[in-house]
Amino acid sequence: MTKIVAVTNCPAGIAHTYMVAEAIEEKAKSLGYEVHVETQGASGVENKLTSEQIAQADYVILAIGKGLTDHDKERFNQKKVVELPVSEALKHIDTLFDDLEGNSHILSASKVKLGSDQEKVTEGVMSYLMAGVSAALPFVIGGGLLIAIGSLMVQFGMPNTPLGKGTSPSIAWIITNIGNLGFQFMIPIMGAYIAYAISDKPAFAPAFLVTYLANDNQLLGTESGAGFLGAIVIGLSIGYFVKYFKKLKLGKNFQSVLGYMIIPFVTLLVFGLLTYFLIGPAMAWLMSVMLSFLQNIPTSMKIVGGFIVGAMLAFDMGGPINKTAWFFSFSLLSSHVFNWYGIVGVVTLLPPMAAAISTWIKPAIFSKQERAASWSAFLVGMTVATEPAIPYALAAPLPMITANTLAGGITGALTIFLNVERTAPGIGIFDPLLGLESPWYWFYLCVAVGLALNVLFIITFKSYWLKKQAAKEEKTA
Amino acid sequence: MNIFETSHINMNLAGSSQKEIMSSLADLAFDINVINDKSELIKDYLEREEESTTGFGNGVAIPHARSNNIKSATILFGRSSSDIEWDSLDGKPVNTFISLLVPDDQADEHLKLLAKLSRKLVHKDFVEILKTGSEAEVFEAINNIVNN
Repeated sequence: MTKIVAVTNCPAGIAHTYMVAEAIEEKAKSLGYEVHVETQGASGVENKLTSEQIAQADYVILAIGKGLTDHDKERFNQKKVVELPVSEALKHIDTLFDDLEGNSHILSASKVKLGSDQEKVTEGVMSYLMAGVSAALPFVIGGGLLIAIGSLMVQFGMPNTPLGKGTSPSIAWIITNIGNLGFQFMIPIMGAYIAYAISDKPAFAPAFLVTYLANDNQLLGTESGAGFLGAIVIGLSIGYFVKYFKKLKLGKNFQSVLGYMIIPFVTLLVFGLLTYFLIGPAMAWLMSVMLSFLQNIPTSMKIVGGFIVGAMLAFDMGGPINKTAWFFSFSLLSSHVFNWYGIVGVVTLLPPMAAAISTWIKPAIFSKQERAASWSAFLVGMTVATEPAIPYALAAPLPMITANTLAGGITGALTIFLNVERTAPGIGIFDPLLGLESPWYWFYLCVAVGLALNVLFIITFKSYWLKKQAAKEEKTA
Repeated sequence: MNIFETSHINMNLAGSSQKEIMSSLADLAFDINVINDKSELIKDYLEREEESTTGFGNGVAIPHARSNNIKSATILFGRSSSDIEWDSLDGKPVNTFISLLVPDDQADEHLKLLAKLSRKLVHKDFVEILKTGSEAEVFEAINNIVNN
């Protein structure tokens, strides 16, 4: 037998709550369904649904006139939910039950829990970003460790032969490239899961593909992909776009194909073209402006320049701003100027290592998954890549990016002041041992100071930010 | 005072627009001494309509308000001689009105009565009496729900 649970409420809590409750009960009974309706009226909650009733229900109907708190919604996580305004429920009561399957969606309230003394984040932009974080972490952990193994093999003298005509690639090259896939797909998977958290399956494919496009410099013809900030922007835009798209009424014949044909097709076309013709060129323009800005920093203002380059490197970790600063520093190597590249050697170590250290010092401000990923982030971060810091930044963009950028800037200024030089890319923190970065004592001093500042900033800013978020949630609840 | 009495019925509400009907209902409420201020009630009615229409179809509307302008929980009943445009769910004009008035700090038992009445409004036989029954029949139908 089909089992239904429902919740009704309305602005005044006097009339419609009960009219609709009664209407749903009558209709369901006439169809032979088992039904339980919780009314949230002026006299409080009546017939409160038990967790058993909810667990057994095939469908949940939420006929809502004054919203439902996040906490309240969480009860229906992963259930098939039909959500509609209470007046619509009254109007369409005769047809409401015709296609419960087609009109329902799987409700996904985020279950990501922060540390023991933290309330979980349940709704709103933060929960969408957290969905992206949990999807992306395995990519960056797996991929990062493979890259680290590959790089170490090469540094210890194994051949790094790429795939080419007539040559078979070396094992180090193969491992590194499999690892690279993790970094490459981490960004689109973030975009896809952010959108998925907002508006479910129809948003997944277009968000994945469009974020991939935005992050692929070759497809876009730019120097850099849009990075994780691009994934946030695209994931959120497509998520909300599809959310409203889904409300489109196309009549019986087309309604059933709306979710898996029309929405993915139209969304991909629209956002794909927008990304190609707007985001791509905008990024290219931004990068050229920033590059000429960096190139015009007078030599007398070296320390200010060091701050700017350091801040830019730490800002978006692989995105256009980071890439511009990197490109600026790297291109100076050919003119035998090594101190700007020295900043790259120091600052790109900081965000992932600092994030990892912060999870050890203050685990309560990180999710379980973030804490579990910390060792991998630390190891990969100190050897080959900044990418492991991205999920941590995504989980709390404002405080994490601020902390990283500020620490990166100060460390950049210090590094250029002490004239640390780097001649070629190596394996991160071991560069001085390989003779790639010198003098070694100033290098390690800069890394130590940078880490200390970065960890301090992360803990301070994120704790403050979480407190504010919690206060905000309490207010709206 | 009872939540519903014969004096709460006006089978001939004056007015030809939504606002005029609300004004007549406010007159009725004022006459039976359950509100402090007429214009306040009209404002509350209108605000509720803004949220979504209370015309739930079939020619019946349930303008209602919850405010500290209201002294005690009350049900008003009225019919108008002309059909009134009410932006109803089924698009049809209305001529039968059942108005629920609730003070802000209403005790539970009265809210339960109104809830019971509201539930009845989705039953066709009950609505039929409201629409076509005599004054005595209407009184009996509503009274059976709330005063028993």
